[in-house]
Amino acid sequence: MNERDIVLEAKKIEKRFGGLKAIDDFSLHLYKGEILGLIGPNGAGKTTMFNIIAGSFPATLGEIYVDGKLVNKPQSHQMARMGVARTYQIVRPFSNLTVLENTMVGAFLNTGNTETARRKAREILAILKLEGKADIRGKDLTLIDLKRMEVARALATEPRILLLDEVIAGLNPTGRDMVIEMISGIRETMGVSIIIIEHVMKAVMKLCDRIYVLNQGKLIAEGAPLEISSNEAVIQSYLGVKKHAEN
Amino acid sequence: MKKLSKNNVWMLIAFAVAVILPNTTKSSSVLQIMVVTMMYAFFTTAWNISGGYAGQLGLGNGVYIGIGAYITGILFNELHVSPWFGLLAGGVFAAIISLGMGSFTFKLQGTYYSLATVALLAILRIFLNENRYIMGWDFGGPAGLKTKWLGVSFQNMQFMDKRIYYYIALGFLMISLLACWHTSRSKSGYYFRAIDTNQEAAASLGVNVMQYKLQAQFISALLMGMGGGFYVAFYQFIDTETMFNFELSFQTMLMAVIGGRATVFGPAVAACLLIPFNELLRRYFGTALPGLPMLLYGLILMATIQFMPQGVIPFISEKLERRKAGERARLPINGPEPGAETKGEANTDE
Amino acid sequence: MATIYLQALIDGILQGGVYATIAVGLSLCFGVMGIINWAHGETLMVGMYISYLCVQHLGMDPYLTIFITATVLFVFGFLLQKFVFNDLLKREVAREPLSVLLSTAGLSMVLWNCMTMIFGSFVMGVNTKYSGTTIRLNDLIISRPRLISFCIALVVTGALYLFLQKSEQGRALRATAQNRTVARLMGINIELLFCLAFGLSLALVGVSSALLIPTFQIYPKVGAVFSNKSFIIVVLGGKGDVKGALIGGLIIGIIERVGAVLLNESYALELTYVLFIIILLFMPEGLFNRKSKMKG
Repeated sequence: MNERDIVLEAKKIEKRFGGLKAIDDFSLHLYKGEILGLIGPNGAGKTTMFNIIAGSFPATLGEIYVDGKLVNKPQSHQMARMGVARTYQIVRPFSNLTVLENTMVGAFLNTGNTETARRKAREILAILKLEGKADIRGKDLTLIDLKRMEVARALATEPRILLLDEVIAGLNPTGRDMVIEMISGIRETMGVSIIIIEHVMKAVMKLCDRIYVLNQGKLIAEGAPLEISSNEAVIQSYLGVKKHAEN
Repeated sequence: MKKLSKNNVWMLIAFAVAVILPNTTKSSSVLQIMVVTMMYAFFTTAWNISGGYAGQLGLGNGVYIGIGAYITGILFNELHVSPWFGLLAGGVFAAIISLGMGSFTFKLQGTYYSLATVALLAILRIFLNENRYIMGWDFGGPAGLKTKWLGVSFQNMQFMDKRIYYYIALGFLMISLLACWHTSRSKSGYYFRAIDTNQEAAASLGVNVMQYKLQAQFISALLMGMGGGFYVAFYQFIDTETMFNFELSFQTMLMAVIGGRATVFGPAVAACLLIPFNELLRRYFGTALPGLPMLLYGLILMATIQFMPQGVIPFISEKLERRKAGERARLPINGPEPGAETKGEANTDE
Repeated sequence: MATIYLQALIDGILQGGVYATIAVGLSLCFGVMGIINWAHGETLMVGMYISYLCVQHLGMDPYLTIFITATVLFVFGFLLQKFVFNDLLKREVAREPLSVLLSTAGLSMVLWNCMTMIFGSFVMGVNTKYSGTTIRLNDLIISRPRLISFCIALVVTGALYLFLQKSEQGRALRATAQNRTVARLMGINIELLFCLAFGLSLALVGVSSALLIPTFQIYPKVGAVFSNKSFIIVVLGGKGDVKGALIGGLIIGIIERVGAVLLNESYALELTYVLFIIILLFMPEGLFNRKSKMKG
C-alpha cells in the first residue's frame, strides 16, 4: 500500500435535507498531488459533497479531516484558510470587479498588502493565460473566461486542495482541451491536490488518478478510470446513458 | 483602476476651490449653505464606507448621526466637555451601538438590517420625547436640546464667523474622504466589495464576512457619530424630529447612491450638487410647493437606480472604459476574429 | 377596572385586524419576491386620499370606495412592478434585491411629498355617517365603524388565504416563494406573477385605506406610521405567512391599545418597536415559522 499523505478525508458523511437523504454514508480520501474524480448522475449528491467539504453547510453526520486533523464545524472561510479552495458549478464572479481584482480577492488570503496581492494575482493570471483580460470586468466576460477566472481566484488563495465543480461543462471542444491542460498543469506546477466533478467523461478518464462514483447519495464504485469504465453497476446507472450523449 | 495624474489634477482644483470658496461671499445665508453642504458631504462619504462599499444598506443609518449629536450636546451642556472631545465620544458610542445592531442582523438578509435601524430610530425618538430628564441630565425632550452659547471659543467650538465652521467641516470631509480612499485601495476595500457582490463566493475565498461587515459598519458609524457632534456644535440645537426621523438617513443614503457607491468622491460630489440645488428650490418654490426638493430627490433616486444603478460617476467612467476596451481587439478562444477592430462599445457575448 | 382593559383589548383586536390587512400584502411580496416595499404606508396614504375624495365629493359610502381604491392601487402596483421593479429584480439574481428597496424608498418620498403639495400637510378627518356611532354591550362601547372595518378586514384576509391555498395563481405564488428557479422551470411566468403579487399587495392596501377612513385622520405623514407598523407585523408573522400577518396584526393592535391604558400611548408604541427588535434578534423568521418560506 502506498505510504502517501492523505491531505483530505471525509468519513461517513451523511447529509439530510429535511426528510431527503442527499448523501448516505459516503467516505472519500484524497492523496497529496492526486486528481480525484467525483462522478455520478445529476442529483447524485456531488455538489452537495463539495459544499460540505468546503464548509458551505455542515454534514448531518460524519467528519472532515484536513491533513489528518479533524475540522470542527467547518465554515466556508475557515476551510479556505485551511487550504481548501473551490469553484462553483454556476459561476459566481464578482461582476463589478475586473478579472485582476477578482483574483486579488483570493490573493488577499495570504497577505494584507495590496501590491503583493496584485503581483500574486498577475502571476496566477499568467499561468492560466488570462493576463490579457486582466482589466475586463466580470460582467463582460464570456463563459469560458468566467470559469477560468473562478479557477484563478481560487488558486490565488494558494490552496493545497482544490475542488473544481464542472469547469469543463458547457465549453466547446477547444475550450475543453484548454481547461484539461490547465487542470493537469495546476497539479504539476503548483502541487495542488484536486477533486473534480465532471460530466464530460473524456476529461474524467484523461485527468483522474482515481474516481468515486455516486448515485443517489451512495457510493457505487471506486477505483482507477479503467476499472470504473468497465464496472457493471456504474455503466448501468450512469455511464451507459452518458456514452450515448458523449460525442 | 483610474489614471492617476488626470484625477489628481481634478482633486487639486476641487480642493483649491473648496478652500477659497467661503471667502468669496459675505452673505451669511450663502455661507450657511456652504457649511451644510460640507457637512452632508461628510455624512454621505462616511455612510458610503458601509453602505456603498460593503453594501450594507442601512436605510436608517442616520441614527448614528443623531446619537453622536445628542451625546456631544449632553456632554457639553452637563459636563462642560469640549465638543472636540464630545464628538469623539459620540462617535465611539455610535460605533459601539452599530456593532450591536450589526452582529445580530448581519446574519440575516440586508433588508432586515435596514428595518432594524429604522426601528432604532423610532425607539430613540419616542424615548427621548418621553423622557426629558435622564440620569438627571436635560435631554430636552420634544422641544429639543440647545447648547449654551458661551461666547466665541475654539475649545467650545463656538464661533461668530461661519467660515471657521466651514473649514472644520471641510477638515472632517477630508478625513472621511481619506478613510474612503484608503479603504478602496486596501484589502478591506476589496473584501467589502466582494461581500457586496457575492457573499458566499467571498467566504469561499477565506473572507470572514461577519467580521468585515462589522468593520465597515464600525468605521461608518464612528464617522457619522462624529459628524453628529459637529452638527450640534454648529446648529447649537437638535431635536428628535430632525435627528431621528427618516429624512436625514434618506438624504445621506441618497447622495451616495446617486453620486456612486463604492467610489471615493461620488457621494461628496453628489452632495455638492444636490444641497445647493435643494436650497435654490426652497428659495424659489418654498412656500408655494413645499416638499418639492424631497419629491425631486425621490424621483432622481428612482431614476438613478433604474438607469445608472452604480451611480452617476461610475456610469460615466464605465462608458469611457468601454470605449477604450472596444478599441482593443478581443481574442475569443478559437483565435482572433477577423476584422476585430471595432470603434465604440465592445460587444459582450453571453 | 377590568372593563377598561377589556375595552382596550377589544379595541386592539378590532384595530389589529385592519393592521393585518394592511401588512399582509407586504408580507406576500416579501415572501414571493424577497422585496420590502418601503413605500407601503405611503401607498396606503394615497388610498386614503382617494377614498376621502370619493366620500367628500362624490358622496360615496366609505366602504364602497373599497372597490375604487383597490382597483386603482392594483393597477398602480401592477404597472410599477412591470415597468420598474421587474428589471431591477432581474439584475440582482445573485443577491438580495436591495435596489428595489432603494427604489421604493425613493417612491415613498415621491408619494409623500406629492400628496403634501396637493393637499397640504393639514390633518383632515372625514365625517361619515358611521363616524362616532357605537354599539353598547354591557359596559363596553364598541365603535361601529371599527367593527365593520374589522369584519371586512377578516373577510378579505380570509379570501386571500383561500386564494393562495386553492387557486392556481395562489399555488404558483407559493411555489415561486419557495424556489424561483424551479417555478420557472415548471413553466410559471415569473414576471407576470410578480406583477400580480405586487398589484395584489397594493390592492389589499387599497381595501385597508377605505376601511380606515371612518375612524382615522388623514395627513401625508400617516404613511410612515403605517409603513413602520407593517414592517413590524411582517417580521412578527414571518414573511409570506398570511396567518402570521393576521396574528401579528392583532398582537400589535392589542399592545397599542392595552399599552396605552397601562402606560401611555407613546410608550405603547415604543413597546412595539422594542418587540420588533427582539424578534429580529432572536426569531427573525417570525414567531411562527422555522424554515418554511411561505404558508398560505
